[in-house]
Amino acid sequence: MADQIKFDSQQIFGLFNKSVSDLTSFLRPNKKIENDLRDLTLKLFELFKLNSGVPGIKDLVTEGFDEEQIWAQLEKHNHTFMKIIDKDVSNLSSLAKKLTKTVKIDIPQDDDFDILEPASSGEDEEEELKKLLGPREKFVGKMLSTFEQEQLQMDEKITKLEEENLKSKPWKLIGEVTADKRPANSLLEDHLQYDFIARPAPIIDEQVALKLEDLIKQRIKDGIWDDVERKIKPAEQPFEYKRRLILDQEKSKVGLAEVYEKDYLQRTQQDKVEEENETHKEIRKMMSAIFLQLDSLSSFHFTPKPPEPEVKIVNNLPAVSAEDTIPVAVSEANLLAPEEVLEKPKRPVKGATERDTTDRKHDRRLKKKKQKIIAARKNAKKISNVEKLSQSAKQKAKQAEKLERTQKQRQMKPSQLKT
Amino acid sequence: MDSGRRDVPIPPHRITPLKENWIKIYKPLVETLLVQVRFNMKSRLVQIRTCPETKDKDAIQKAADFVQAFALGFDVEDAIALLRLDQLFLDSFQIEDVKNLKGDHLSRAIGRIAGKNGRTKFTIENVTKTRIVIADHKIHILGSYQNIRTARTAISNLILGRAPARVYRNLRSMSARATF
Repeated sequence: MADQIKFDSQQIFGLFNKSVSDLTSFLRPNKKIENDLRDLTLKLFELFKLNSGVPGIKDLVTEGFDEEQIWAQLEKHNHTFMKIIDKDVSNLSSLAKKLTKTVKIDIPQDDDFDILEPASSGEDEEEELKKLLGPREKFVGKMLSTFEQEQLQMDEKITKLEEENLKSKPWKLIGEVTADKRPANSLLEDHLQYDFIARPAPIIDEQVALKLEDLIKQRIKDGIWDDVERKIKPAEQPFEYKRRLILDQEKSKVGLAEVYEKDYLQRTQQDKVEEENETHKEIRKMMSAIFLQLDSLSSFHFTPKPPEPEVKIVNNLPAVSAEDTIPVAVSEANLLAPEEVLEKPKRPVKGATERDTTDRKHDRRLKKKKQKIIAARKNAKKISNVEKLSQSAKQKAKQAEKLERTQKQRQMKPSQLKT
Repeated sequence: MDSGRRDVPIPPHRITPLKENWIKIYKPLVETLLVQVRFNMKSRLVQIRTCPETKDKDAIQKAADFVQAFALGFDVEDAIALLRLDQLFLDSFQIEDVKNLKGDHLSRAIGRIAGKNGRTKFTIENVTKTRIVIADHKIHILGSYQNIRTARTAISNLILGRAPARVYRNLRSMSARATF
């Protein structure tokens, strides 16, 4: 049987190598090679079927089929073959389980042994069985007394603890640790406990949201619209400062009378423009309304032309303003002296160690002054708030009185009817 | 003082400008204010008086103020504003009123106010919409009340020794406030 297989396989491989040896023949479709390879596949399949004895498809049909169709047939056959192999493997693993159970009864103290691990394939199965059976052999057959078992356990524990003590401590327990002294990504794998310096962000849940909503509603009821508006300090380009710095330094050509006249006209004309605007607005509103209606009648399909791009005329100005002779690679911002960008403090800047009593007193005075101002503002705000509250309370009281009156009237009415 | 007559003395350094600008000065006085005016060469006085044609009661005072402003050193074009606008005033003060300076310190203070080629003075004039005359240690400012105040504070700061750049900044912020 084996010789037969060997012979067949040799024959098949010989044929295959022969047809594959000349690679140039694959450049064009070659009918002869195709037929050869077809025969080879058929032979291989038959050989395989003979030896494995798997009930897949009966015959491989190659005549008039292309390679995809042949491959589909093979796949179907392999599928059944895989099922059978799976069954074999599961049988083997169950057998292994049985074996291990028997072993466990013999050696109860071995807790490292994992029974639940399933065997993955046939070949691994045998190895695993060997592995499982190997170390246990020394205990099998030896019967230990309970005292001896306890002693063994104790010994194990002691050695474990001793080893732990002798080993170098993990990085978490040796105090301050820099990144290079601990393994990579070890921080990510740990749950750390540490104190926050910053206040944690509040967790917004339903209750908090409701509370906020109540607060907002109350403020709306009271008519308090004094939310703090965020102030933004506008970022200033350094050169804007210089530009603004240069005021008109020439003698004015117009007389003082004209200056005041212009000022006056500007003021009055602005008012005029606003007056005109109101009528314009009305007209524009009406116009747009009419046009919309007209459009709906006639030309909703009309799409206007896209606006033409504006033509910009760029003057031939020098790229560099020739104010000072400066190196080419100096930015404009560097032309300003530091005092021009930010005002110099009146007193020299001193460090904590340099300050003497005068400086300290000066700072203290400044601080006190600031605090006083802030306190005064707060006080003023409080007073205004209290006034507002008292006003709202009065209104509420009035409303309550009204309600009472109406209720009394209602109560009175039936009694009056009775009488 | 006679209500129908005003005498305005003209200092010697303003006599030539007066002669040059005489037409511009007497025309508005005679044609619009309807007062009579003459220049007395001997006493160096501009003499103004009312006549039966004068309609406005203030005319004589306005005319006197106008000539006075010119005598102090303002241009005719600027001084005419006194005739056209009611709320314009003339303010005069000395450097010694602000700080008692002497010798070189005084000269330097005057220099600070005027600036190189009068630049500082013109800047203050343009920003505050006033006209300023610096006559030695006397300073005259022409403008509306509020504007005179701002110009005066600026000049006072210069006299006290502030750097012009700093004074400019204050002026700028003030003018920005005025426009809004």
